[in-house]
Amino acid sequence: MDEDFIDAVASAIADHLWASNALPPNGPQAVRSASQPAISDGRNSDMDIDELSEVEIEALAEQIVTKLSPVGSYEDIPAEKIEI
Amino acid sequence: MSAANIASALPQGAFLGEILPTPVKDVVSLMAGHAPNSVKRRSAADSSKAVDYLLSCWQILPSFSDKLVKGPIKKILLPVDYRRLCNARLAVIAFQKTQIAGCRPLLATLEHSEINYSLLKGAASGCILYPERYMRTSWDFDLAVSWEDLPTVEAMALEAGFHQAQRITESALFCPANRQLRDIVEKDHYELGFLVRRLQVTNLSPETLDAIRTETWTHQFWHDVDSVNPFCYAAVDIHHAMSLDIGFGELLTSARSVSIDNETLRVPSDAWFAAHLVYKLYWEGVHNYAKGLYQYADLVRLVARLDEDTFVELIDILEKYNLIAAGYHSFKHLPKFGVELPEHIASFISDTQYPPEDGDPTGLNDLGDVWPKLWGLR
Repeated sequence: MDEDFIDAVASAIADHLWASNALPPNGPQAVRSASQPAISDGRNSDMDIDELSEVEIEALAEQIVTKLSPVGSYEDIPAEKIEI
Repeated sequence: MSAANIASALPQGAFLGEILPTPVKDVVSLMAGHAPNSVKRRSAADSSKAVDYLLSCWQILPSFSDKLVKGPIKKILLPVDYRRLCNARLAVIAFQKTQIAGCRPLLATLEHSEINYSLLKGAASGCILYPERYMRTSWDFDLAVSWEDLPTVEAMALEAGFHQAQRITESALFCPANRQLRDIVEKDHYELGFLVRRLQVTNLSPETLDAIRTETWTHQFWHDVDSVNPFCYAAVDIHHAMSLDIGFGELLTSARSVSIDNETLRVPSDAWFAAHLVYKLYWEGVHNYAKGLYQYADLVRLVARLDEDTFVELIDILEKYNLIAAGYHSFKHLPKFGVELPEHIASFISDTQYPPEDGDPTGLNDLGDVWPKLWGLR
């Protein structure tokens, strides 16, 4: 899988996530829908998500989700005591 | 409350033009800071609907004075709805006071630096439009700085105790940000990702503690509510542009200092503040259902500051960024809030109701009336 393509799709997913303040959705369906803007923007001219097999999309999804996955939990941001 | 829920709360065939359904009339009056015209106990359905609307406009719940809450609001609402509203108001006031306390060190550092910054949106309107700063709430403190100053200001925020963060899916909690995700997002956007402090408040009043423990609606703001010291987040959102095609250069040049609660803070000029408000109110309003109604509370209060000269400045900005239609569709609804429009604003509405010859709606950024959409209708 070419890195530029992964970056383009990851960027499209990040745009989507930014709008919804959410973390990366899992699964090939999310990749398939989120990749469309990246492809139509011409950020990837030599690959089309629709030409990929389900197996390839699964692999792509896994790579992107790994790339964008959250680190840690809310407790990793230390609590500070404060008066108001 | 979802758009569908808000819309379904309206009576069938409700016309949101000049004749407003009772709960809408109540909300509109309260947003403007007034008691409703009729202070009689509402039906169960209207009482519940009014509180649903008000909770969807939680950003302005702290603006309701104690007199308004304990007088007219108590009279018109059923006890169950009144309790719901009071609990929400207490929780949101404490949330905003925590935001203010949490952002104070960063704002003090900025104020003592050479960096030109300005508060934006709710953080600015709390300083200039409401009797007390905490009376206008928002999810975060929005700041404008130039693109060149972004790294310095982010470093200041980290030094002041903020952490790079991202939301945890379907929760109101934050975890440390994935640096790669932030890099991807920030490359194509005009603001930094979240910067938050997790703050355990040690002196919440017994009434506030009770409110956040009993009202689950408040748990979008408050966490660990059964502990001695529940926590919420203070968040700053640092912008370097208003949108992808509207920069902040002129806004920052026009920014001015205000003194409030022994702090000196910078806010936009009234004209730029109004332009940003119109842009957000209209542009977000027409692209969503049931989003941003609370911003009318700001616009209602801003009118008194828009004298003729300031309004001319505002129109210049709106013209420059092709937002005249946004101005028309935003200002024309102010009379519904009991606002008597000065002549220069009334003339603007009258003049701009006709689009320019050969203009097309898309080219004019004219996506139609924002009012029904703010209430969750088409």
